[in-house]
Amino acid sequence: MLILYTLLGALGGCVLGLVPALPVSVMMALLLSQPGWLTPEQAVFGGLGLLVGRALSSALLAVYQVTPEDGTLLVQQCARRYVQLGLGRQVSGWYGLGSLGGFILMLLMAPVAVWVLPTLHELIQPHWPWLVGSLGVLLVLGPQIQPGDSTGLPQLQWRWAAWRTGVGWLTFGLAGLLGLRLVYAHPLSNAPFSAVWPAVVGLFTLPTVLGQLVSPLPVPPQTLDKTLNITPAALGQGLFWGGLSGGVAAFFPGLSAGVGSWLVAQQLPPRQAPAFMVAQGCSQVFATVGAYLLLFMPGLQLNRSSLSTLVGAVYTTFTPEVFYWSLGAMALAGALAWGWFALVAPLYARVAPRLQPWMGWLTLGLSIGLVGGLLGWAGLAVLVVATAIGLLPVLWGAPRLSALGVFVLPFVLQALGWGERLAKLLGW
Amino acid sequence: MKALTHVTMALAAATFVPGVLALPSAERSEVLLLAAAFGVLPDALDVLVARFELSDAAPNSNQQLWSHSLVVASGFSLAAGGLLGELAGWVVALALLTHLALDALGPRGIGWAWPLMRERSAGLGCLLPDDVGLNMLVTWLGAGLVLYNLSTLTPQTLTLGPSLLFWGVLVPAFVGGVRYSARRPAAKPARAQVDSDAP
Repeated sequence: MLILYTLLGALGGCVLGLVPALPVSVMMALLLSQPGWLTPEQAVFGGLGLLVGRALSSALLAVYQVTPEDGTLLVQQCARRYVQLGLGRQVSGWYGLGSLGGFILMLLMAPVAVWVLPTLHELIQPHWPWLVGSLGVLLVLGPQIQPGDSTGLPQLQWRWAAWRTGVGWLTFGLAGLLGLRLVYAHPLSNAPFSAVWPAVVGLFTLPTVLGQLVSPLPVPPQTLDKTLNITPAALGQGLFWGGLSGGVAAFFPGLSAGVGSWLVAQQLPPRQAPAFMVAQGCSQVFATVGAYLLLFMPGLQLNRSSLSTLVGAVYTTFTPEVFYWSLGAMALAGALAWGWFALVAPLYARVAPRLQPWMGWLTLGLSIGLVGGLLGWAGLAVLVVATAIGLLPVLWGAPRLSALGVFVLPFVLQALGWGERLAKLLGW
Repeated sequence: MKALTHVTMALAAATFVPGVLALPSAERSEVLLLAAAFGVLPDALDVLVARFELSDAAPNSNQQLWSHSLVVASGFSLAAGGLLGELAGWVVALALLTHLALDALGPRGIGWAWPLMRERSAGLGCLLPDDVGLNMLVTWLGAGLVLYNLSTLTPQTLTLGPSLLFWGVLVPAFVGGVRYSARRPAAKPARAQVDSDAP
C-alpha cells in the first residue's frame, strides 16, 4: 500500500507540477488540514511521490513558461534562448535526463550515504555558520565578478554596470532583512506553511511574471526533434556537479533548491547548456527529494525541508525499514514520473505557444489567490513587499539570485549571534 | 579560476592556520568568513574598482594587475592583523596568497610586483582557468582539505582523517591531474584569456 500511495502521489505531483506557484508543502498542508483525509503513512509516502512527480514535471513550466521558482530561475533564463530557436524540447530533455540521473545516483549512493552522511554531519555540524556564511559571501561577491563582461563598453555603460552591482547587494540585504523579519516576527506564525513561501513567490516568481506581462515574449512553434545532442562527458559533468550542488543545498541547513541551482552555475556556465541543464535537473532532485529523504535516514533524521516539518509533525516512527521502503518507492515513482515526462514533454512543446499568452495571468491570479486565500492580508503584505524587492534586480538587470539572501542571511546572522541583536535594534 | 574555486581553496588554506579551528564558534566563523571574502576579493576589486575608473583606457586593461599584487595583499593582511588580531592577519594573507598562486598558474599572469613593475608577469600556463573539469577538481580538493582539517579536531573523528585525505584528496588529485594533463589543450596566449564566467 505504501508503494501505491507513492505512485498516486507521483501522479498527483506530475499533474500539479504543471500548475504554477503551487509548491508541494502547500499541497501537503492543505491535505493535512482536512481531518481524516490522510493517515501519517499516506502523508509520508504520498508526499514523497508528490515531490518526485513535481521535480520532473515543473521543468516544463520552467522551460517554456515564464513562471520560475528559486530553484528553476536559472533554468528559465538558460532555456529562453533555446525556446526562441524552437529547441525547447531538447532543453527539457536535458533537464529530464538530469532528473532521472539524479534519482539513479541517489539510489546508487544510498548504501554509502547511510554510512557516510551521519559521520559527515557529526564532523561539520559545529561549523555550519561559516560554511553557510561562505556561500553568502560568494553570493554577494561572486555573481558580481564577470571580468570581460563589459570589455569594450563605453564609460557610461561601464558605470551602469557598477550600479547594477550595487542593486545586487541591495537586493541581497533587503531580501535578508525580510527573511529575518519572517524568522523573528512572523506575521503568519499560525500558518502551517513554510514561513518563507509568500516571500519566495514574491521574490522569484512574480517579478518575472510581471516582466512577461508588461513585455511579452511569445513562444514560437517548437521542433519536435527527439535527439538530445549531448556528449557523455557533458552528461557526466552535469550529473557530478548537479548532484554535489543539490546535495549541499539538501544537507546544509537553511538553504533551498535555489542555492543548489546557483551553485551549479558557479562552475557550469549556462553557455554549456547540455551539461548545465543536466546539472540543474539533477540538483533539483537532490535538493528537494534528497532533502526529504534525509528525514528518514537511519542515524541522521535531518529536517531540511518544509515538507519534512509537516510530515515530521504527524509521523514519528522512523525505522531503517521506512528509509529503505522510501528509497524503493522513490525509484518506482521516479520511473513513473519519467514515463509521464517522456509522454507529456512533446505534447507540451506543441501547446506551449498557445498557453503562453495567458500563463502569466494564471500565475499572477493563482499566486495572489493562494497566498491571500490561505494566509490572508498578512500573507499578501509579505507577498507585496517581496515582489517589490524582487523587482529591483529585474528593473536594473542585476543578478536575480541575490534574492537568495532571504534564506542565507537570517541563518548566518542567527548562527553568529547577531540576528537577535539586529532584530531588537530594528524593533522586531 | 572561478569564484567558488577561489573561496574553497582560501577556506582550505585558512583551516591550516594553527589555532583557527580551535577558536570559539562565533570568532571562528568570523575569521573564516574573512578568509572566504578575501579569497574572492582580488577578482571583485578588479571589476568593482575598474567600473569607477575615469580613464578612457579599455576598462579591463588593469585586470589582475594591482589587485593581484603582493604589495596590496601585504597591505590587506597587515591591516587585518592590526585591526582584528594576528590570526585574522595570517588568514587574510593565506587567502590572498592562495588566490594569487592559483591565478599565476593560468596563462594570463598577474601583477606580482605592482607598483614596482607596471606589467603583468607572464602566467605559467599550467592551468586553464575556464576549464570546468579543472575548477570542479580544485574545488573538490579544497573541500577535501577542509574536511580533513575538521576531522583532526575531535578524538571521535580523528581516525577519519587518513581515509579522508587518501580517498577525498590524494586519489582525486592523482586521477584528476592525470586526466587533465592528458586532455588539456594548448594554453591560450597570455592576456587573451577571460578569467571567469560566474553567472
